[in-house]
Amino acid sequence: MSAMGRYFHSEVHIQSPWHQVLAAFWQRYPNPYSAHVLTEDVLYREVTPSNHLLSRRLLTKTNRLPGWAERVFPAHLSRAVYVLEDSIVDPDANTLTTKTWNLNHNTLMTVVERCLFEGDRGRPSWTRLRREAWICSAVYGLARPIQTAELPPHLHGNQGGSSGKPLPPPPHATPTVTQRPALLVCWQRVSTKGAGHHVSCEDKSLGLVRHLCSLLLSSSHNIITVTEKYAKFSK
Amino acid sequence: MNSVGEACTDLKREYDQCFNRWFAEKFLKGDRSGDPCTETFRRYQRCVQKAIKEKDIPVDGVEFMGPNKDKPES
Repeated sequence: MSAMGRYFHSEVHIQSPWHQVLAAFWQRYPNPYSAHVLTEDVLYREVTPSNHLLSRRLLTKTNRLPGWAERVFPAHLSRAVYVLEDSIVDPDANTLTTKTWNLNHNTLMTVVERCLFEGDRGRPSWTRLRREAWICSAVYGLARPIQTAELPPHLHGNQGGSSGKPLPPPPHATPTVTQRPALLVCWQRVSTKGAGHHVSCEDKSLGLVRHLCSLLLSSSHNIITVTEKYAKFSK
Repeated sequence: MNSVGEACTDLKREYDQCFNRWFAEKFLKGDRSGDPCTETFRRYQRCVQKAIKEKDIPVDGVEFMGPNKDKPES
């Protein structure tokens, strides 16, 4: 099965110290921005000999496809989305690395997100977040908008390219093209404003891709929002 | 937050509380004196792993930090 894919990356700065971001990372559900998250479970935890904390979490999320998509993809109608989140905390380097991906609905789309939260050495009350995502679909109607959607003139977003060397995309994903696709802007706007925020996207397929991305890429958005808005995590 | 196993939510919350306290007060502060949550974790896992099997959630054999393991860090 050949899939068309897309690689994205961005960098943001969170105005919270790293230890606070981490507390929010573990405690961010439930929150008002994640009504679609139904359950959260830790499946695995280990402190390695090098003092890294490894964790695995399972999230289940509701999947309410847009009406037309429910008719086209009936098998996915009532099934929850299972998302796995693996993470490594290095308390000496002040880094948290996470990888999140969907365990089912892969015939529709697979979204892999990798995040690196790093305490800002120059500014201890800030944390840097580098995000990467690989979005793939073998469904022709979705692969095209992922791959080739053009940017309407009014949607010039601030892409926030990574300041470090970008890591290579996985073998099946194609490299980024020079033109900024509307999907990338949709992803960024959804991921900074939260799932459910209206973003005008030009065609239905793009809307479906946006819906799935917001469902599957919400993890890092939540951390920013929750850390900055909820003082209880500062304890 | 609820557990995927309806019967496991209380055990999950008990474990989460223990973990959050240990994480902030010991782990992040460099205290390596050991994990006080082992027992509550075991109880919680017995419940949740059973629920995962019953619901046929495909977590078995999934490699840590997979898929696409082409990343530089160890």
